[in-house]
Amino acid sequence: MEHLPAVLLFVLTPVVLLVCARRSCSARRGSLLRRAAWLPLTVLCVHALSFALVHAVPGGPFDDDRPLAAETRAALEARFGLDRPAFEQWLHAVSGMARAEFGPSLAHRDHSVTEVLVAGAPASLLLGALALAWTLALGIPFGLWAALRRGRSADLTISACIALLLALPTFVLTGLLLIPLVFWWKLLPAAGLDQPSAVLLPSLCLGLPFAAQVARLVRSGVAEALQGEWRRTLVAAGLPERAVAFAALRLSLVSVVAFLGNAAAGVLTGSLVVEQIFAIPGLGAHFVESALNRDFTLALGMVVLYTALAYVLNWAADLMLPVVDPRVELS
Amino acid sequence: MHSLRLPLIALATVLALLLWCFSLTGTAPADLVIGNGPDPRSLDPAQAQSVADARVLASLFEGLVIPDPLSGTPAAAMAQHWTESQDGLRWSFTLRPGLKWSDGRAIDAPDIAWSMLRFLKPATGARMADLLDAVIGAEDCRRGRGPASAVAIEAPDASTLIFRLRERHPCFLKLLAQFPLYPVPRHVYEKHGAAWTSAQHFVSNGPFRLVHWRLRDRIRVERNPHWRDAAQLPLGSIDWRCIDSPATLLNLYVAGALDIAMDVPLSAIPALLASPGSAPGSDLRRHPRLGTFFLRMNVAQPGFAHSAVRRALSLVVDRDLLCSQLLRGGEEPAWSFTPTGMHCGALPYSALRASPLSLDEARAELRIGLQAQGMSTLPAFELLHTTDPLDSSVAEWLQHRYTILGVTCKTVALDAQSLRTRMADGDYAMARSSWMADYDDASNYLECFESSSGANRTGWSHAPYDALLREARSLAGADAERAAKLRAAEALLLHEGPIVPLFHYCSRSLVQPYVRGFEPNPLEWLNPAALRVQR
Repeated sequence: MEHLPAVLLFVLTPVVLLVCARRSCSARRGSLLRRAAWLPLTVLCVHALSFALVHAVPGGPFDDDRPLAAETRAALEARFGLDRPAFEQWLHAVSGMARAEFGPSLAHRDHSVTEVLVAGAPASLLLGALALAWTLALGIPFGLWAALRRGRSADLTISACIALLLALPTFVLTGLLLIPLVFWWKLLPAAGLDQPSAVLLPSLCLGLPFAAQVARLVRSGVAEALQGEWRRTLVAAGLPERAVAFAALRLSLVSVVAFLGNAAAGVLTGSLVVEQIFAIPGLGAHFVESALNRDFTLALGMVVLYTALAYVLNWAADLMLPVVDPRVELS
Repeated sequence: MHSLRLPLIALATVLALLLWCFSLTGTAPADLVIGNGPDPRSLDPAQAQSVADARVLASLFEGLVIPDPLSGTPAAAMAQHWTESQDGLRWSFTLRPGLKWSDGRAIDAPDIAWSMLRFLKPATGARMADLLDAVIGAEDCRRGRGPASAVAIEAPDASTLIFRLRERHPCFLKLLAQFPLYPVPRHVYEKHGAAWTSAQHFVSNGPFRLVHWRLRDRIRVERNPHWRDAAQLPLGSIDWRCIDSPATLLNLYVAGALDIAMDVPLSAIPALLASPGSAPGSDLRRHPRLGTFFLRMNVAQPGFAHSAVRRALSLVVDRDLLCSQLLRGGEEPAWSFTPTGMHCGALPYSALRASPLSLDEARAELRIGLQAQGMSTLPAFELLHTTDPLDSSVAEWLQHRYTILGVTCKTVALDAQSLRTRMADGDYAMARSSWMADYDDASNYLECFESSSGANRTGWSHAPYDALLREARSLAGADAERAAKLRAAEALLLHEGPIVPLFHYCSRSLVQPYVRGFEPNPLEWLNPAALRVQR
């Protein structure tokens, strides 16, 4: 009975979904069902691989400068189930995962993994959502502006900024923004989440490199569209320049939307440095520290969460593609 | 309109999510905000680990005795007074009347005895369970070889607690002041099990009680109205900010969001010292800490078996240069393993210094050591260190330093757990290490390198050294004689041993001028009940 939820989630659900997909008359519905069927299977595979990796690295969660007595170590291993054979531990972990229970954290002894994830999720989601908002709010207009003024000083300036933002490590970029905005002009709080404005600067620091990538995509997409036969036809048909530009922008958004799936996952998983510098109580730091601390359960919980998020966000981006460009078909 | 329904629902969901996230921001500041360090491993005293954990626990709990912030000697806390028998084998503590847990329930001696026994049981997983080894039956109990009932901790009545020791211990009172021995509420533990540390169940006996703990953010504590001296507590609440980056602590301190920052980045020290008259430079507090940064050498590795080779690798290191040019944070060059300011019982302990720098002597020692092993050159070896920036720069500095001897040393950066594993497995030649005193006694340092010590991890076993430490233990109560034995043992360790002490740590904190009651302390102990704010 312990493994029933896992069997239901990782075996029966994908089979049922795949059968339904095969019988579906609509290609779109079939595609959706197939994507849904692959989600639990992908998570299961990533979980198995991660489980093998975290148990293969040297060191354990109870290693310390002050070595534990053998009896204490054995008691701790029994308490956290680390004394069982590896396959049994994995089965137990999979069963727990199906019930959204990842067990106790080995480094945060007073918290379960689920508690750690729930505690860190709001800050990470808030930071990630605002970073994506900065990504779009800055990336699209500046990319469009550069494309419309291709070869001129505005284009060169924006291209230089894009190159700079892509080249600068996050901690350097953060320092460059932190010093004037926080310490010289005292416009924003230095760190923490004690007031809503505290999230503006970290989200900007996190979003700027992604905004640069979006600006580059938009710039090249719009510039390419404006150079083709397509533009001449629209202008000949009497459309004003602004309408032509927006039509070209809409075309370039296909690559932006495709990029956003990965960007969203990157924003969530790549927030370690920003979270540390700004003391944001999110999940980013747990992702790295759980591995360094050999907190096997938390590391697996983080991997599962990020895998599911990356899958869903990429899926959402794919679903958005036909909305942006009706010529795109899901298959 | 129909086609817009899905995007609108999605938009509304995202907005609701953002509103929920925003609602979690915004916390009114406490009376005092302390930038402490990473989240405690646990609020269960037996499970806690670091000095930062200990500071938080000191606000929530108190033991029978607590270290005096100025002198470090144990002072009365839960215990009103105590007596030691003539032979030092029986300690009797009398509790203050009217002690209560933070939920208002009375604390009695059997509660404390139960808590000590729980600490000893292997199932508790206490990291420092050997603290009570001096008590009869305690070692057998923690090793699962004897019952808890055989441990000689007795509570003959509600206010008396008696410890019977198997041998006189020179620092028993200092041991009892350690944070892992803070009492745990039996009634809560028996009801909730391991979940007793969750905020909704948490009960403690210290000056403050837990309000909430947001991981990677803060632990909020407020005045415990049931504490023995609650009316005299100057502060109503404290926020322990759980921030592991010293740079972020400095940013928050400069921005005025912290009243105390318990750590300052090493790289910021020169700038802070350059402006001693204005904040934050004027707020910098530096004081020696009972901690040593040193190198361990594995005597089983080719070339390292002979003490002359190890001595050569120590002699060539110019500690003064290391501290004045590389570290520049106030660290003290380490010419001994035990730090300056250490005690032996009640007496100050002054260690014998290792030989001062002598390059010619180092070369001669290396030659002698290699010849004795039939070698002409020392094989190239690896120096393992962690990825911490300080470790990396020290390792690179040493790598350069060892070229003076014509020795090839390759630095290898590892994460802390991998480094510990390699050391535990004996899979290293030289590795960075550190030791922080649990309590202020030289024996706490020197016993690390006893043959039987789990903290040794060098393969070095020296019978005369072990004998000196045994003799020192037998001299409990005669501090001067014990100090002489320990000094002799340390001289042996520095001459024969497998270590290269590099520097003694220095505590660096920033304290706002309106904060009172912050006393510099070699153990980085903080007495939260004494802290107050006078703006």
